[in-house]
Amino acid sequence: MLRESTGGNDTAPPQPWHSAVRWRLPRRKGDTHDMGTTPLRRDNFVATSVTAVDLGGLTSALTADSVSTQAATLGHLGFQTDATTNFGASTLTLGSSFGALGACSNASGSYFLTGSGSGTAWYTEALASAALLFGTEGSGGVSMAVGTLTAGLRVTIEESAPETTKSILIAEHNVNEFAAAPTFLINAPLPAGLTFELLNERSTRAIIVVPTPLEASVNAVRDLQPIPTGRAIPDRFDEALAEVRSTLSDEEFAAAEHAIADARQTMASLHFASTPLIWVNDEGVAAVQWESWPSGVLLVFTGDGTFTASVRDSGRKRYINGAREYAVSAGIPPELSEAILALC
Amino acid sequence: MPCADLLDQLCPIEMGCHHHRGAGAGPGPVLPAECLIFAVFRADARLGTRLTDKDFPTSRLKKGDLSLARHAHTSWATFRDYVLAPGQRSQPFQGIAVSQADAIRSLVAEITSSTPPTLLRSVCVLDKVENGEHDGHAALKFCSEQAALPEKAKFVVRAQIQSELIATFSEVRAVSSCYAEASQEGY
Repeated sequence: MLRESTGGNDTAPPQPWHSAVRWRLPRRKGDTHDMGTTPLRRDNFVATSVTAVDLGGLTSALTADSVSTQAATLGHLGFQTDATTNFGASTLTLGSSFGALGACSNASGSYFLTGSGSGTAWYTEALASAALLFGTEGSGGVSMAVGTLTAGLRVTIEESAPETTKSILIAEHNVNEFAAAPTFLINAPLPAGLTFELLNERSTRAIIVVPTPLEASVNAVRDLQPIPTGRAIPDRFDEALAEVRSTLSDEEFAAAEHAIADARQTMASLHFASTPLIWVNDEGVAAVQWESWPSGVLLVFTGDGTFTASVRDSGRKRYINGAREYAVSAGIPPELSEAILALC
Repeated sequence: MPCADLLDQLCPIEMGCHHHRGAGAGPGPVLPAECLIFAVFRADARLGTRLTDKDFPTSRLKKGDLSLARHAHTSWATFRDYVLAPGQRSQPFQGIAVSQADAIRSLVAEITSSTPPTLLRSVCVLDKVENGEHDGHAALKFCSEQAALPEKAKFVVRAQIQSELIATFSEVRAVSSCYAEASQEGY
């Protein structure tokens, strides 16, 4: 079990911000994915001082067949945020035939991950190895890339902002690809089509990794049941309100309570889980915001039984343009739901 | 002419003098290409952290009291003594966020609740300097043309503007990105 450590090193020069990190697993042998275009920032990491944790239990949990010949390098878990040490070949030992798990962001703000440990800034499909990358940015989620792994790891992310507890299982795929998915995406059509988000570093409380024997089938992933969740999104409204309570008049506070009630009802109409930003401003207006920079969806609640939605895109459209008002009772309309899902 | 039609150019209010010593004092109106620095004092912010609505409270934007430093008219020593020193007395300084005056002025809000939809500038960038402030001080203020909006529309558009200001200023960066000499003093 690995627990989050606190504190970060903030001395690095600012790096470009990219919050829209989503990608798909390799669909077939030979596919490569350019993860270098979405650099993580070393000061955005959840675990900033854990340098290397050996998942000693992993070896014994794997079967003889799956351990193969690289047991010595199996299951190393590394979190590396040091500005001078690269992740990959050094701190995180990626077995030439087996798995490793790590989070990294090097001094230049990029991360890399390979199965061979050769230290490239690109993710290369690793046919004979496995790696799991945790990175964090502002918009939330977990990212990972997996080459070949013949056993599983269950990774549970506890978020405390408050949030849900998410469980991710890495499982074998039958064509040298791997499926991995947050449980809330388990019903996605195909493992190869699943997407992964980045973990919200502001709310991550713990990362727990447990070796898990797996059935060698895609269905093993799809049949997983979600782990019981922690505090849910509605609690975050309470926290957001508490943050501004001292700045609100009684009238504004009452309006904020109505706004939050509307926001909760609206969020309940979403048919998928997500981790939006939730805030209440100093006028008692509640907002729910999904962002994948530069795109986003903003819902504004004033407590009158309606909400105003606006969509930001990479072009000229801003949150201040083209807003539409909806009745809370009608829930989130399909077109907006799709826009939100695209950001998750 | 409505401010929104001026796009990223100065509106009449912005063209006026907001210096406590009157016309002729200070560097004058904030020009479109000027770089504006927002100092982030917040315990929960770090380098790379996105700004939040707490950085752009509507109460200060309504009063025209959201402070910025005009980079071209604020030396490091002035920034340190007039911005960092007083700010750090109440909250830890985490870094700065930067935008350009014309980028802020070009945030034109489309008020869709009116028929036909109307366009309003979101915020004005004023050369506001009050007694005790340095001459390179500037301030953001919600555009006065929003005063005519119905109450609900005001609430909605202000929250939207907050989100756009967050997007415009983006994230906390090191103060040394604007003032190289800051790093020599441990910032």
